Amino acid sequence: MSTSNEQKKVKLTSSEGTEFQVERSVAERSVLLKNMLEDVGENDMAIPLPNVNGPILTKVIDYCTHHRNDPVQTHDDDLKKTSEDIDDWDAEFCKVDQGTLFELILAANYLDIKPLLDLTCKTVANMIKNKSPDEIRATFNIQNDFSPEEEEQVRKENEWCEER
Amino acid sequence: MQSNNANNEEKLASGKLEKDQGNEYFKKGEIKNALRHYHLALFHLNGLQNNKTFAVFRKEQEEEPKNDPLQEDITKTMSVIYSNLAACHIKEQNWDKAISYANKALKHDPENTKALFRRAQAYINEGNTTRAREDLEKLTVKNPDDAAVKREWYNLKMKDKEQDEKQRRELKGMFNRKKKQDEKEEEEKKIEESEDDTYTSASASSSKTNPMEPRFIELED
Repeated sequence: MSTSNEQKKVKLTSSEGTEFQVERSVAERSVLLKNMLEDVGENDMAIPLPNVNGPILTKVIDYCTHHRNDPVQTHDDDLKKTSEDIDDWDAEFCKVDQGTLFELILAANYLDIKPLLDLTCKTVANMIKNKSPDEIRATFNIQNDFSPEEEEQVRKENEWCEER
Repeated sequence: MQSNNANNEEKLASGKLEKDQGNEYFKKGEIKNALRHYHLALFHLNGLQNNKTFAVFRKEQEEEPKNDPLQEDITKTMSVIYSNLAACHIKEQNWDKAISYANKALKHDPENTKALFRRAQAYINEGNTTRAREDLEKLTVKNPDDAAVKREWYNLKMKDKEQDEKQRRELKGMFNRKKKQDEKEEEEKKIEESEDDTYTSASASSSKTNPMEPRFIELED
């Protein structure tokens, strides 16, 4: 399998000490890692990632491997993006329980992987979209701590955004 | 996931340890190793300031938890690390990277004077004298008597002069071509040669009188 022009592997260690090997182009989807690799190059020493655990890092590596050849996102692209433009692979990738989704958001933020942060946040946005307050509470298991008066007040303040 | 304070304190401590190791290597002049340890420090600290990222979940009236000393310590430490990364890149004469890391340092802590100083140095060396002047002016307001800042003012002046001369030379060259086309070529050459000389000697002397060493060798701890 190994050819001479194969990319050098980068070793990563998750918070509990599990080691992962990825190709440099995969690791570089993370700006945090990219900055380091640019400054010090590959090294046989594993790079410890103390703020992400093994199962989540596995998911993140899946994502980065699938998207390894994507063009770099520019700021102009951001403007056109909506929460609708999620392709099938990405949608499938986000079919995880809420806890995992939340940890993926934290990991994307930690490792500075903007497209993954966008994707996971869009997924959460889509879980909120078109739902009534009660449905949203049910979805995220949020207790209603408003008194009826407070709730009425909030509803009034936000009347403008409701669909007629 | 990791928002409990004890955990964050531990990570801050580990991050500071890596940063200190980076400082050791920096003092020894082993810039690659210093860079490595500064980056490792960031791997501990990045993502710990989740409060900011998830500010949307806080009620509007709530203030940013600025009074949280742990959060403040994390942010300040990250600023120092970014600023030290900038110092490494100044050593390696990567002005672009030095500027971008100094920017990150200032984003975390706008009061980080060393980061501002390093950015000024990088701007001067890169030839962006306008931006350099802005930074030096801010530094002068903060420390009117700082010798290092004065030295950078001098370096900036030298750079300005250098660029001025270069421009004048180029403009003159254009004029010469247009106006004196039929005039003696010899004379022109002489003028240009002599100007070339002053130009190179000016830049050489500016690099000689460029003793930045003492200032950016000192690191924060």
